[in-house]
Amino acid sequence: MRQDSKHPIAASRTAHPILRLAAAIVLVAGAGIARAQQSAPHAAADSLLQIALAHVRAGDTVFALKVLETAEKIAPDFAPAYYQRGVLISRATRLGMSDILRRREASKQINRALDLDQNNPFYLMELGRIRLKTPFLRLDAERLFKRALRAAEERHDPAVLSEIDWELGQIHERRYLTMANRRMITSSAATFDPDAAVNDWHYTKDFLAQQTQKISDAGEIDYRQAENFYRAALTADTSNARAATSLLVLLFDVGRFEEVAHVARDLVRALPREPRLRFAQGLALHRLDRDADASAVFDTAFALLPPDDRHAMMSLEHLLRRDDARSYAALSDGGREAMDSLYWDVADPLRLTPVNEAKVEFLARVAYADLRWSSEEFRTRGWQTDRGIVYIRYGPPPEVATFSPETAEIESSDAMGRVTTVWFYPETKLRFVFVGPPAMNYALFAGDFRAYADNARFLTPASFDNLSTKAQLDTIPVQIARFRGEDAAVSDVAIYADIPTTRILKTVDVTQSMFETAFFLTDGRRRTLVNAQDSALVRIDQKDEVTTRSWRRELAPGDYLYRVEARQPASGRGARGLASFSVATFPKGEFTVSDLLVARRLSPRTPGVTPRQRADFFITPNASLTVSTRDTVFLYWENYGATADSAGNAHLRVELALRLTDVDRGTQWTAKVLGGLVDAVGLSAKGDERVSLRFDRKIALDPSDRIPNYLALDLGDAPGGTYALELTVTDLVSGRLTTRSRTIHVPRS
Amino acid sequence: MTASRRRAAVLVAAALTALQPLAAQRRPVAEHRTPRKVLFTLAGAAIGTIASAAYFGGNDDPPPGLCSASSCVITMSVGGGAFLGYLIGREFDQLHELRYRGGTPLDPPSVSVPLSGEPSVLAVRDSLVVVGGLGGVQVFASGVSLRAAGKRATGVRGIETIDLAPGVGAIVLGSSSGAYLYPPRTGPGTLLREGASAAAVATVGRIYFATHDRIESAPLSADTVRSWPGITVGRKVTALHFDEPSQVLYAVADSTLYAFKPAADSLEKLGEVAIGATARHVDVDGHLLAMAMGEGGVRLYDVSTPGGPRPITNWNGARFAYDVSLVGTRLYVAAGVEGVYVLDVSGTEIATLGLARELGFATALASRDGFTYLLDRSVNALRRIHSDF
Repeated sequence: MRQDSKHPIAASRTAHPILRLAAAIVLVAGAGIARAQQSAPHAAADSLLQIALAHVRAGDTVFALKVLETAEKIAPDFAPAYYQRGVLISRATRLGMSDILRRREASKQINRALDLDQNNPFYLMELGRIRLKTPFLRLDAERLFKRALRAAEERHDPAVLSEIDWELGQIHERRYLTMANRRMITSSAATFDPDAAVNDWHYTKDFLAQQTQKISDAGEIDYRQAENFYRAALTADTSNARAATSLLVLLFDVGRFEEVAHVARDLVRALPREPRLRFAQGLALHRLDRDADASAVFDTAFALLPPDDRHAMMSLEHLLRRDDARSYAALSDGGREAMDSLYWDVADPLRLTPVNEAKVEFLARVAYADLRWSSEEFRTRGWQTDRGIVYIRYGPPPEVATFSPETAEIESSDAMGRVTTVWFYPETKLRFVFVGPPAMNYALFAGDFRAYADNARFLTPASFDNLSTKAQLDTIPVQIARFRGEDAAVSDVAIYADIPTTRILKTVDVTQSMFETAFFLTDGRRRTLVNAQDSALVRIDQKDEVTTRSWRRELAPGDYLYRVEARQPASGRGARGLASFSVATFPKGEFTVSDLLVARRLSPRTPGVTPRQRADFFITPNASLTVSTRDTVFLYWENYGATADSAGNAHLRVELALRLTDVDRGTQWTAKVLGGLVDAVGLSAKGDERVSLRFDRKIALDPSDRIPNYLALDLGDAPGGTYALELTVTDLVSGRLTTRSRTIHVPRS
Repeated sequence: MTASRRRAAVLVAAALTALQPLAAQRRPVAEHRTPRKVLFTLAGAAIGTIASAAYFGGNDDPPPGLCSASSCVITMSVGGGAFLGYLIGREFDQLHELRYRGGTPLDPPSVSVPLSGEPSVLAVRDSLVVVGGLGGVQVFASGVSLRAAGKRATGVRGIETIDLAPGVGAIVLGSSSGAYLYPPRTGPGTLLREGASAAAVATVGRIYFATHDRIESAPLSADTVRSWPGITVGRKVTALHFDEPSQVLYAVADSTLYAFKPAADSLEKLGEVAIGATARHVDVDGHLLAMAMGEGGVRLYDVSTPGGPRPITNWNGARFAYDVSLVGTRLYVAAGVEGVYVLDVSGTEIATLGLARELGFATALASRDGFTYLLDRSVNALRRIHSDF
């Protein structure tokens, strides 16, 4: 308040409008005396103009208009007052017919200013802008801008010259966009039918392929003129960021990526605080497959945005189902940050690469949507428009077609007087149709496509199929086995991975290649606990189809996310295994069992010596948990907390069931125990789907309180399918029991 | 025949005579262009005349109305046709002016072959043409036409540069993962050097490749990955060119042009000159060296003394110079969406002979044995034209 009292305008804002106006006039009177050499009414009007502008800056347009009205009364031949009043009225109007009376008033004010100061380029330019907002007068805008251009050239005013060049460039760019991707209908169909398209994806595919022909060079004149005007705008004023951005987007649209990267680099040096220039630069680098550079550019660009814009643009709401988006929006700032981190961590195709390609693709989509479909006239942000939302979710459409406005079927056609734009994604069969007025860079969903887009959002909230790295990504099967640690408060977690080496290597025509592998482990707070990366030069013709890698970590109870990755840099081909898992403790005194470790081979290291822990075995883990028919499955597990009898022995009853869960052919089948446990008593089939065995063990307990168990299981003629291995161990001394299960797969032979 | 019909016949004949120059457009070098607004105005008037003649020819009774007399109908249809023709012709002229910006249109005959992927680099040696891009290298034999001759380096991603060894046809390529050497004809490639390689050239018996700020040299028989003998220039090397006649290796790093000569299995610097910006590609023919500077156009240097390249002149006629190729006194400039500029570099100033925009979105160029080859991004094709068309 104290600050306000020192500022006459700010102070007057709280008072009654008449009092505020009176205060303004008093202030003006003082200023008028000071400017004795100027004509008194002009000086007073000029001061009022300054006051009005200050109020505009403070957000009080209504009072500013009143002050300007007073200025006009004081000095009826003071053109700037009319001009500013016209500008204020015009800026408050929207494109279309609804504000036509207010726009007429704005035109009247500016025409008055023009009468007083003929050929003032600013006045002509503003008049042109008002014409642009009135559908039937848009064509006249170009004439006014050209007149303004001549006037600016005569006055040698580079700033206004640049602005007018930009406005003219915009007119031509919008015309170009109307004509770009234009197709001519070659059949008897009057137009593209959005209703048919929404119901049947074949319609879009067939219509585009069979009933249309692309018109080459459509819109070329306007494209080239727009480019010329933008370049002229930049020549006149190198700091015209809007012209610079518009030029870059125009170049980008026709694949001039090298040019965009080159030109943007220089422009960014000149205008380092302009985020949208960096958007364009990042887009070009992304398209040139320089994602590491693109990522750095996008990071800087988004950091330059106001925080609200940044958060809104980078929000995951764009990529989530409607309900999930609501839940996400309801999260606290910290919750959203955690969610963002988790989402992008999972979406990242490979952490082995220096960038998160999925996130860069997302940022590129948001940046493009913002650059291409933002409109000052419509006061829209590109990423919030119908086209922008679809673009962010599904990426650049592989097929785009536009059709000229329909002129014949007035009653039925949604496209009457509007340009129809079709986006088609052949891989996913998604299609979207938009309609909008020509030369306005504005379009909305046609017909039922808003509902279709909602449905598509539910089924496929987002897609990053266009990522080249993702297209070359294989899966790494991973088996996690949790055992009790040396310290009972932690678990000893073993991670086994079957890396598909041959599949990754065989696609590249080289004799040898670098081969990178990595294991990443993060905890529930998204902290990286393990980042183990290594690389080696490998021969491409190596025989091993799969390379088994293993890692072992002692982990406290909690939730974790692991990633196992492999990559061949030469081809960019890679593979990953990714999942979350929980770690619980094996409390002392409780009878518990570890995970079942499924292995390809397993045998004691020293024959004749009773093994006491996992390290006493040779284990070749089976990370893929896939076993062929007639193959042998080796199983290993540990029991803890068994109660000793009076002689210090534990008595355990082991029950193992193998149950077919996925495919049931009703075939009789058997399996048998091959060895491993001397006291195994047999394995018998019960019914068609299940085999089970039961046996008792007597083990002398030692202080480690760890009972290792292992056995080998021959699957016999088990049919292909998914099986559940269910283990139940009963402590016969205490009567307690514990269970574990594991799923294995038997491929069809 | 009535007077009006005779007039119509005369106008049609005049229009047809005036339209004849359209046929002359196919000549390789157009010398004169009649404004289309003139041609189309005449054509429109002729069509209007024919239409009105046809109208009156089949109808003896004049219909009622304000403009039903033959003089009015003929005037309106001829005038309307002429005006419409003028508008269409003016648009053609406008497009022509925007495309050629006052220059001469060229239309050299070309043969082309479609490409797969998104190729971005090109090299020619003897009768072999190799094109590299996202998914590997496509090989073509250049004879009467261009014929696909197989694929190499399948799966190698991020190919940024490519060259063929003279005589043997071994391929050297630089990619984001390293520099590779492929034996002639068939066989997998050998990784010679790990790390992004943006420039590589092959010469008799040796190859030179850049990894970041270092230029290394390896024999064509190399088969191991290692750090090879070479020279560190201290700035990222973006372009290499080996001039066989003078046995000089030119390199562009940042905004400097370097000249090296082979010394045993390494290189020895002859000199350097600041060029003020980064060049995308370099080509040398005789004593002339040309550089494509992107937005900076083309720079021409006299390299009679390789250790001290002397600037001759600059040319900024293209929006963006992607690549250059020197053939005697002709300089071809790949100007992206504009097409290919053909320049005369016989004097101290560069003269623009014309623009061949029909060659498409030109992004890479190479000339050899009387032909100039280029990559056309607009239709994803390799094109070949006669260098002296």
